[in-house]
This record gives sequence, C-alpha cells and structure tokens, in this order.
Amino acid sequence: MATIRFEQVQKKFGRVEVFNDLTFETQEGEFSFLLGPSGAGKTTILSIIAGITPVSDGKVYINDKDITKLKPRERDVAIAFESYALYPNRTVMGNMRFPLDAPLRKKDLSETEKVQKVHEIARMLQIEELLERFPRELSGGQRQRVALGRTLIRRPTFFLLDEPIAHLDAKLRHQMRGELKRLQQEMGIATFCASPDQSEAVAMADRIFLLNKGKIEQIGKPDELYFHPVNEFVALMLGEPKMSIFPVEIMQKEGAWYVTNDDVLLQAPEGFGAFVKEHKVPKSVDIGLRHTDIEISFESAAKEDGYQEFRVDFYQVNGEKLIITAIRGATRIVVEALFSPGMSIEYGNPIWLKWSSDNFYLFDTISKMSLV
Amino acid sequence: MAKVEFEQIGKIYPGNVEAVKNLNLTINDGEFMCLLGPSGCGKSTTMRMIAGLEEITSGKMYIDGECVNDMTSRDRDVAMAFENYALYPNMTVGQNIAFPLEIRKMDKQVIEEKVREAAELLGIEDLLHEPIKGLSGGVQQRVGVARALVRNPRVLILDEPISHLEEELKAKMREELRKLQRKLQVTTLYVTHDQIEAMVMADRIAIMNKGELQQVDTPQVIYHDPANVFVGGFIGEPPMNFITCALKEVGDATLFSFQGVDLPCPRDLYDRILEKTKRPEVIIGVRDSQIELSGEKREGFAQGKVFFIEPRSEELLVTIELGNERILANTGIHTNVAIDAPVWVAFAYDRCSFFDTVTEKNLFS
Repeated sequence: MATIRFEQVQKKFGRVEVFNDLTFETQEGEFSFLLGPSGAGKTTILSIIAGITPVSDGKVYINDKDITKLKPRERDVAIAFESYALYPNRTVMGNMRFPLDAPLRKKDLSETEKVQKVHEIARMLQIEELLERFPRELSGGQRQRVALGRTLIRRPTFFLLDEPIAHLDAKLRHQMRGELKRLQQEMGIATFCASPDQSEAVAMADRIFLLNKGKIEQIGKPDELYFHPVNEFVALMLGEPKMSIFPVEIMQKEGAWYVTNDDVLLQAPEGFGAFVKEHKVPKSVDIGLRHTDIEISFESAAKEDGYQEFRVDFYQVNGEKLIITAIRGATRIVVEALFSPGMSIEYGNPIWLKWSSDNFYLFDTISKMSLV
Repeated sequence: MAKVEFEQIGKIYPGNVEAVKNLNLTINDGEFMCLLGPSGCGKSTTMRMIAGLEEITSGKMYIDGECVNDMTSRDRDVAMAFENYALYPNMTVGQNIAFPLEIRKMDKQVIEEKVREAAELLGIEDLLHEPIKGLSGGVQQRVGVARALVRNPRVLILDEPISHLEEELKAKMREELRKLQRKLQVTTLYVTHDQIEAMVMADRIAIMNKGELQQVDTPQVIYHDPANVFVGGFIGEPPMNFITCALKEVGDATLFSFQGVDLPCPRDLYDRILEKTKRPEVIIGVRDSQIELSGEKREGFAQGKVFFIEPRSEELLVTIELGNERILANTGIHTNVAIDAPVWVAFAYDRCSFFDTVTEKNLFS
C-alpha cells in the first residue's frame, strides 16, 4: 500500500507561508507527478516527505502510517535532488553504492551483489565507464545521472525525484523519460516526481498533482487536466502552444450562436446553444480555444466562408509548423499553420480565423473556474 | 543600424587554444541574427571580439565598411546586455540605465529624456527610482537591455539574456525582445545555446561548433536542410534521428541496410546517393515527424519494437528499437502501438537528410 497522504499540512519558513491546509493522497504504485511553476512549493513538499524539512502543522502518512515525526532514515524513501548533492570525495561507484552500505542495510547484499547492482544501474544511465571518476570530473548531466543512480540503487517504498532529468541534453532527456518510467513500472515502486515541465508531466505521469503557489489546483490523469481543466490556471498549464483565453459575450442571432466582444465575432459550433442552456452559462464568460479548434486561411476570400480577419502579431518557427499569434484589437488567438518552404509570412500580414471545432472551454470571468 | 562583417576572423588564446577558426560572416543592417551553439563552440569569444572585449588574433572585422580591429569598444558604438545583467546593485534602475550616457558627460536633460525613452521601450518606466537589489531576474534583464539601448548603438549584442529566467517568462521575453528589435531595427546579435530561442527569434541563425561556423541561414532552411550531422542533431526538438547504413542491392531491390534491418530504398535515391558518396554507405537523418508508423505489418516497412510511448496531449512520441538503434517517431493518438509490441516503420525520404559517413556533410544541400 505505497501511498503518501498529506493531511492539512502547513509549512512556514519564518513568517513566509509556503502552504497551508495542504491535503492530498497518492495511489498505490503510481508514478505521481508534482507539476508547478518555480516557487510553487514542489521541492518543499518532497523535502517534507523525505523528512529533511519538518512540517509546521498537519500530518504526513506513508502507507497509512503517521511518519510526521520520524527521522529520514526511518522513512524508507530515496530522494534524488535537483542539485545532485553528491559526495565530492567519493567516486561515482562510491556515491552510488553509499545507500547500500548504510548501517541499517549493509548486510542485506553481499559485496559482489552490491557492485553488480551499481553496474546494472550505471549501465542503464549510461555512466558505466565513469564509475572510477570523481564528481568534480563530471559534466552537469553526468552528475545528474549519478544522483539518480544513487536514488535508484535500493528498493525503497518511495522514490522522490526533484527535477531528475532537467539538466540533460534533449536526446538523453527523452531517453531517460522512457528508462525511468519503465524502471519504475518494472520495480513497481511508487514515485513522486517534481518538475515545472508540463511536457514531462504529460509524458510520464499516471496522475498529475498541479501546484500553484502552495495550493493544489487539480489532481488527475494528464488527459483529464488537458480536456477537463478545473480553472484557467490548469488550462494554461497543459498543452503547447497554450490555450487562448479571452472574455466574450454569448449571443444568439437568427438561430445561430456566437461569441463576441469589442474585437471579434466568432460563430459557435452546433450544440453550443444547447450546452449554454443546459449549464446555465452566464452571458459574459471567458472562452478558451486551443490552436486545434481554429482553422486559418491566408486568402481574403475566406471571409465569405465565415472567417474573420486578424493580423499576424508574432510568429515562431516550430520545426514543420508555424505558431502564429493572431491579433484583432485586444484579442489574441494562437494558431498553428503547417510550414511549407517558400511560404512567406510577415508581421502585420492579414490572417483569417474561424472557430471550426466542436471544442471549447468556458470559464467564469471573475473566479476563473471552469463552467462545466 | 549597421552592417557587421567578419573576414577570416580567428582567435587563439595563450597555450595555442584556437577558440575561433576562420570565421566569415556578414550580419546585415537591421538583422536579428542568432549566434547559436553548444558550450565551448566559440560564440562567446566571437561576441566578445565584436564588443571589443577580446582582441582579434587574425582577420578583419568591419562595421559599416570600416575596419574596427583596433578601435576601442566605446568607439565601435556597440552595446551589450550581459547574461548576468552586470548591474550596479546599489544604484537605481534609472541610474544604471543612465550610466553609459553619464560617462560620456552628456547634458542632464538629454540623459533624463533618453533614460525615460529606453525604460518605456522595456516597460519599466515606473521602476526608475527602485534600487536594483531586490528586483526579479526578469526585471533586471530588462534594465540591462534598456541600458544597452539608451545610446542608440549601431550594433546591439544580447548575451544569453533570458537563460536564467523561468520558462513562462522566457516565452514572453522572446516575443518582447524580438518585437522591440523590429521596431527599432537595430542590427542585433543574439547569442544563445538554446536552439528554441534561435528558431523562434532569428532572421538568420549562425550555428557554430568547436570554433567553426557550420551554417548560416534562415531557421526554416537550417531545419529542413541542415549542412551536416552536427546541425541536424542540434536543431529541432525532439532531436533528429541518425542511422548509419550500408547501401545494398539484392537482386532488383535497392536497400538501406543496418544491424539486420533492411529498408527499401527507391532506385533513383539509391543512385543519387551513390553518385555523391562513391561509397556504399550513408547516414540517414530523419526527424520524428518524417517517420510513418503502423501497428500492422506493411509492405516496404521495416519491423522494430516499441520501447516507450511518451504521450503528448494531441499526439504520441514513440521510442522504437530498430536494429540496435533507438529512434523517436511522432504519430497520432490513434495509431495502434503498445510498449514492447512490434511496430512497422517507414521514412519519408523526400523530407529526410542524407549525410556522408566520413565528412558528415549533407549530400544534397
């Protein structure tokens, strides 16, 4: 029953309160992902679980056992720090086998088994040829892998990983996502991983715990957060490029439904009217549209087809695609176009937009909560 | 506004360390050029040579047709915003911005006006009386840029200005800085190791490795037509896959062959490659979006095994073991793939790149 439970945990550093009344629970064997911007409190939460930082109030349970007052070594968790925290006077081998040599555990495995274990994990992390080096002789990425290796060497009840692959180059990072997730599944060890990177969360998490300034905004599978965000913060956190959210009034004219503001008039899809009535959606809302909900055209003839004219405010080349920020008055909508060589695009160029999918997100203009 | 030209520029440090080798590059008037490359590639040294912080060992540098090798930084009229901001912590925002003008002993009225203008460009006009100490990284970075712009320099150098900022702020600053430069039309050199920044912001990218210029072109061309393996692998996320294969003929069929895998290769592509390499081997550079996957066996596809599936909200990034290689392929959410299950793979040859196995140069660019 490898679960972590926080019950009304409060944490203050001096007078600065990082969080108050924090309550959540992970599920057995789960790869839980703590996602949130810098400063949200992710590292503090991991430190509390590890026992490195005490709580100011509230209780922490591992497997329904109250561990709030237990020392780190009594908690059977293994933590990999973002800052590596390697022992500078020990080799990579020495660092990685350290947990196996700890007083409480040194008799669990034979000397040969310990060395073998280190080689096994080192091989997976592609650092096997570095076992005799010292941390000072390693690159940042190599040190990060050693720190990870040291965490993975035992079979604790929980792995706590703080931005474990942030400093690796892109190719290695993708590789490590796979290795880590597979390893975690094979070992069946519950894992709590923290990072500000939403693509990492979506790639690896069984469930995401989305943290914002010490408060958990939503807990759920990546798809749940992506397709059913509880508020604007969650909606903006997942998905690249970000959802476009802007205030509108809902309007009906000659049987068709529209959303409009001083700048735009977009025709809503079929079923929008029924949805608005069923959920008693107020007249003024914030609407959220993803780039996949919008169709674009560079031809002025498009306006005959229900497209509305915007201007190109900014664009970015993203491999095969162009991410374009279209603007009309104060309303900005991010769209995506397939880039074809020879295509020319200029700032200020007209671009025509149409809301073309059945998809939409509606939020309360004041509370920013989802209206679904 | 100025054109910068490098003619066979070289930099050798004591101990015979050749940091920059034979650099030939032109930055056009009003252009936003990104100098991109990994740690140690020579971009910082090149940047410092333009700024006059580093002596040029060999070759000539021209700004607007004038050779500036022996000119001081000040006289070159090049301004720089530093990676670590380099602001005076106990002076205010306004005092920091004014500094380059103060040391030139300009008129107080004029200085005040110019400082206000520069601050407004960066949206920090309300902070002019705040001391630097205590301001966030994002704000300090703006102060650094405002200070660089206050002199209306001929050339603006931005040295990894957003590398220390958080992701969300980075995205915002990329847009702001680019738009600001467009408005001012100042010739700008933006130095970074982050290929996303370069792809998003640059008119052209000059990509360097080990002291040598690898390629200079627009982001789109560099992405679609990388000059060599290094460029292909450096640009684009996820990174390009590289497979070294032998060119094989079996009866009538022409194949790419590696580690027990045989990929059918169209005869005309085969002949074109052989003609260029004169050797029956090639490195295929194929991006995740240039690979077609099938959960069922298909004619002309090679069989591999799924190692991992990375969900991305509207698509899947699949790591596939093909022979001894691991490649990354992008596919729709509905493709029939499962971890450890077999998968069939084909490459879109019309969009891939092919590199010489010895020189690592692109055969067809």
